[in-house]
Amino acid sequence: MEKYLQEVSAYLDTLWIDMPSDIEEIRKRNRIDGLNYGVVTMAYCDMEAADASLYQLICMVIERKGDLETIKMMAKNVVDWNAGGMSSSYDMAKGCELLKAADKHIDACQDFASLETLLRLLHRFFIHMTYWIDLILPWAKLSSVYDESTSKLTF
Amino acid sequence: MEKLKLTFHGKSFTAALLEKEAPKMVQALREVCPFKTRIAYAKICENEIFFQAPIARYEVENPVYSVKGHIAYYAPKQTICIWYGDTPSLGDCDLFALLDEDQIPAFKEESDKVWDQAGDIMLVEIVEEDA
Repeated sequence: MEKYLQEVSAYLDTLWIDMPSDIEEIRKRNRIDGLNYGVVTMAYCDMEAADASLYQLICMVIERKGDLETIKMMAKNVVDWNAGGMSSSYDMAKGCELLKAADKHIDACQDFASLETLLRLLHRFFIHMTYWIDLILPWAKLSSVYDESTSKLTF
Repeated sequence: MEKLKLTFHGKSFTAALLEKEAPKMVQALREVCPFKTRIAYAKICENEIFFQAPIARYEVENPVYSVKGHIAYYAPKQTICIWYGDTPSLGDCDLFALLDEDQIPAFKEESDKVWDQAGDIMLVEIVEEDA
């Protein structure tokens, strides 16, 4: 796991200012069909959910509270769900590869300390992705169009 | 005395660090400054910008319902949030600094631009006062 942690940490260190290649790929997904907005929005939702889920799990792990195997299973849920999404929906190949490897390392954790180290890194990964996807959504223009489109909405 | 210095759009702003109320958060910040990150605008609150910080904390030291001038840390997303207007935050965050009050109008002028142009670079530093 040490090598994995070092590689992922080094990768995340490159993401502060320069956009990851995965984000470039999301921007292209289904664009030809006019469905790119849905892709980006759903990716944003998935990353936000992962941020919150991992935060809670890490808080439990730090306190050494809960059953280790149960928390590992919950963490794998987050990781596997997003590995699948990154592979099939968002074209985030690098993220998918990172998470598939994480799944195995979660399995290998035998104590709270090693799980904490791993989950902290994964939490940071998801946060970086959340921020980058946030930055590629044109919130001001979207809000303007939304306001116009929904101002007379009735059911 | 140390101050937090925030530079974006070619302009710098300072804030008082709440060393007494949030000593661990201030120390965590001290350990990672200076750093650069990209700024985004809040999606629900008006008058708030935020950015990811290289700080990973899983405890809230100084939970405060933030208002104008507050600089606080939001742990689930490792974010530093800055409120510069009358719209309050959605909930408690870890308050660790206060924008210098006389600079808030100029800070607002620059931060309002982030809504239309997110992603500009923020330089975060801790400096000695008068630096």
